[in-house]
Amino acid sequence: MFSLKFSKRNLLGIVGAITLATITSSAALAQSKEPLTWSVNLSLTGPLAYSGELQAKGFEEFAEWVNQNGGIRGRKLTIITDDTQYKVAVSVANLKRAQSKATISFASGDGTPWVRAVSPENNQTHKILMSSGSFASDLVDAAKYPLHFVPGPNYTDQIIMLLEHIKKSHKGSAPARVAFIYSSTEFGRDPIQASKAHARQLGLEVVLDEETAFTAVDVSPVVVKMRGAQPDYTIFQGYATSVWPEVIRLAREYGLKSQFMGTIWAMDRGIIVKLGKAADGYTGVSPYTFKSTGSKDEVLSAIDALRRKNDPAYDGYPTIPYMQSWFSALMAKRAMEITIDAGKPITGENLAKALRDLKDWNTGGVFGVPVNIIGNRVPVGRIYKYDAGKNFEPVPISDWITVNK
Amino acid sequence: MGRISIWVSLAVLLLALPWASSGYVVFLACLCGVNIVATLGLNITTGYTGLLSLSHAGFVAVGAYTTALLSNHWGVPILVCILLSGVMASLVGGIFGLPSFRLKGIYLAVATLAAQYTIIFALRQGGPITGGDSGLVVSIPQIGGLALDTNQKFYFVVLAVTVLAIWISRNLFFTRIGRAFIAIRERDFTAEVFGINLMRYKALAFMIGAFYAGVAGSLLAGFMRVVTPEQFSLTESVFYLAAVVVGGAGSIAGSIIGAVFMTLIPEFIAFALESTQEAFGFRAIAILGSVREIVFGGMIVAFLVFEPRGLSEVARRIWARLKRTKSSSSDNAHSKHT
Amino acid sequence: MMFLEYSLIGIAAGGIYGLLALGFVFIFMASGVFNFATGQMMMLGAYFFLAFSKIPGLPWWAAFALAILGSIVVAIILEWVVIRRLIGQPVISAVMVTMGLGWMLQGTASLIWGQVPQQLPDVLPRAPIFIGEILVPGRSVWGFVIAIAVALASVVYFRYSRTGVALRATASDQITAYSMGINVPASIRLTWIMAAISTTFAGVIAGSINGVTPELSNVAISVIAVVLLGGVNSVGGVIIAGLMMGWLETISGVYLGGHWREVIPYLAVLLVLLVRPSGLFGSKLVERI
Repeated sequence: MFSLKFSKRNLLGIVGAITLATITSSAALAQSKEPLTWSVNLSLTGPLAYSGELQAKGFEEFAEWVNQNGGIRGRKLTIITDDTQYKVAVSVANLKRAQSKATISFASGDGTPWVRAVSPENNQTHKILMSSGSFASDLVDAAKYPLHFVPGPNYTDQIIMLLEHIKKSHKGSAPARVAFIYSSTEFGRDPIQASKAHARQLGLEVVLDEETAFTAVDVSPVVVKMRGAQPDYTIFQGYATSVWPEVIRLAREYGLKSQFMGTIWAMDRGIIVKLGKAADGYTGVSPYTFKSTGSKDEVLSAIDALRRKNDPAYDGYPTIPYMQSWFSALMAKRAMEITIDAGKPITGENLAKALRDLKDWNTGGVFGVPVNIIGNRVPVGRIYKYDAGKNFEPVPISDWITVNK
Repeated sequence: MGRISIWVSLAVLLLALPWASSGYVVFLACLCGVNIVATLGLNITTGYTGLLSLSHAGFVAVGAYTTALLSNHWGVPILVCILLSGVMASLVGGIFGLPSFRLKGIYLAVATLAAQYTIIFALRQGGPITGGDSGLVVSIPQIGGLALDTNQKFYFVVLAVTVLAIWISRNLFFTRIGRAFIAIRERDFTAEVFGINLMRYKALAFMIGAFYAGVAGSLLAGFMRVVTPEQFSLTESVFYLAAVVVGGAGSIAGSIIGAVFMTLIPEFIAFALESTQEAFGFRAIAILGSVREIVFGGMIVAFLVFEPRGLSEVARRIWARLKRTKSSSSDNAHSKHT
Repeated sequence: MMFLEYSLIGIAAGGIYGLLALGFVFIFMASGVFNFATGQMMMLGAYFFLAFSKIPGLPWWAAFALAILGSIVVAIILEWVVIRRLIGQPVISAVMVTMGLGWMLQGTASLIWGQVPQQLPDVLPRAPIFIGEILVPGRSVWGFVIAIAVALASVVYFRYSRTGVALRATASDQITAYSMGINVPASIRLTWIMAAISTTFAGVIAGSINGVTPELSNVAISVIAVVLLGGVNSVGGVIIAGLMMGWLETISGVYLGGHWREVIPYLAVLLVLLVRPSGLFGSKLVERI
């Protein structure tokens, strides 16, 4: 039998919710010189918590910098930060919750699943400008993702940069032997097919294609395979802070001499330093300038000042997740400035157009060269090499590369 | 008299919800509806019949993906999708459960664990068909020619299906089938003596529960518009079990209370943490996940130890006490008059 | 030849499974409770070791002993405060309580230590070991040796000591054990203590190889499959089943692909349920309905 008591409780709950909702929605109706509100969704817990925290700090200090300098064309910047726990359903809910609190003019998420989940409804109904920490290759599809902008070169771009570098620098007559080790997630698998094809095109020999779990893996079988394949170069893709350091350590213990390489999320200096000698010579792609110390450029020097102010132990390296947040935010800010200056309303479509029309944009030191936005991303990056002799300073071993694809 | 007005105002509120509140509240309402349907199903399997199932989220996944595929490839209207998703989930449940219906409960529980992992594995490896890790985007649900492209519009489908599911469950337990389920939970050996074919009814209880899960999954696909394998992990299966336990096993009202409670608790925790944000900085949000796990686990333990009959029992006791004080005060009034 | 290397790595990994399965089986045999919190107890053991080893000046073996002590305390609390209260309720309730407890433990661990993978102090020697031409990672070998030693010690204790005999009596027939004057509640508590010890060993070994995160608990999910494969009432059988499962997982990971590792134990379970529900080594005393 239905207990009537239950229906009364439900009633009270619904009345309460409606009251709350009415209040919040009427507040959001008043706009004009209102603050600009951004929704930032990050993995503050879960396997990506390490970078999530740094990304959150990036947005936080960006807002501090912007508001200290008069906001965006006079309008204050407010950022709503939520934890996605690296779960799609949670991140979708977070965006909806943020939307019920204020009009959201820019939304940033933690990864590819978020972009895919939010895009259909966003493209059709809400039309909010988006960015994320995802550098997935199919995000260049402007038809599917017209409002999302990748804050750097995508994973395929990055691996191509590495492969071209291998081709150029490989010594010896035999073709270079390349291994790919990646996680069985979308993040991991994304660029592999295209990368392998490009490698073969360049005349490199792909000797190992190894897919592993994302975390908590016993890497022994992987290293055994490496020993059998004897790669000259091993490229990692799709991991956070675990698995790839263990492979490096175990491989060195096995006496393997392969050169290890990684894309943006496998380039963190903190992890390299912890690995010590085993990681000497580790090479990878970073879209952004690594060090902020002594910079004269507008944005990079601001970052340097803020980091020193907020963190007495700052070592001059803002970290890649932090820079990625800044650049995503910088794109949004620039788009809003252009749109406001042109007297147009701040909608996702106007902002997106502003970004696409940007020509040779000086990013204030984030990138070492002026950039353009091609295929919804900035296909610019640089290859760095970690030198144990120089206290693991990432030494740039290439110019700023622009990939045209 | 008073009862009818309560039902009427409830109906009015539920129907008026999309216009009276924000998109987020409607989103939550849809989510509650989905979870209510799923919990009703699990309650039939585990609460009434006593068969522990750890694969409920897997069956929800089967329903969700079935709807996604039917809708995307053949434009099947949503109501048909819902029905077919339920059937599909039921069949999958039957296949996985089959070897263990003739064995003791714990073997079925392990078989469900196997089912959970196998289903998710198949979805992740399904390549172009299931979209692998990225899952599928679901095309806009259709009824007749009407496109239900917003949460507000789809809400009514969720509402209708949820009410229907509640009504069916309520009537199920007045039938012979329903009573057989309860008999099995209480004393399965005795039930057999009374002529109940244990294997057949266990299978039925399991498959009906899976049917509900499939329907819930279908609704989920319709309003989230995206289905990914990670939405349906073992953690979600335990979520539904917690809803059954917290609400009260073997009680329809319990399923509803449990589902709504479990759905809204994370929101309250988030709200509480955000309010204390000034004191802790934004780290407060970062602990949401851990706090949620502790609270969920704690609720399962607390309810099983202290109140095995769940919130519905708590509610019933409060109601009984209120009735008693009401009648005693009216007694006093009476005695004053005479 | 590489096949042999993979096989050895797999069997070595299986040592952990055997150890965890033992913890499972002891509790199950004494009280009929499937302890779904086994994985979390293992994770907690690893975290305790991590925490205690950070105390300056404390040698690693002392930290380890403290870790075991900590796990035992937690296990006794779990058993006394909660499981005891559920006597009289259907076993399914006790099983669900262990699930809830597991969740609480995992949430607490992630709250205290965060979710970023951490490194345990290098207790297991890392140097790879050559067996003829074959190379096996040091930690795997030592982990295996320790796991098997602890497992065998537990089995010997169970078989031959007086308390062990009492445990076995409790396991086979609680009511008769009571009437024979055996302290059944104490026996049950003892199985939880034994589980705490074996899970701590397993946790430290697994944590040394994989790194410690709250997700380490998931290693134990396939232990349920191991127990079923070996037979829920065969102590020696589950150890062998653990080794087999470790081997199967590694081989399937290598030849089929990394993503198969998670599902292979459960496909094996489904097969077992179809063909021989009592498991490879369990007695045919599988209750039909």
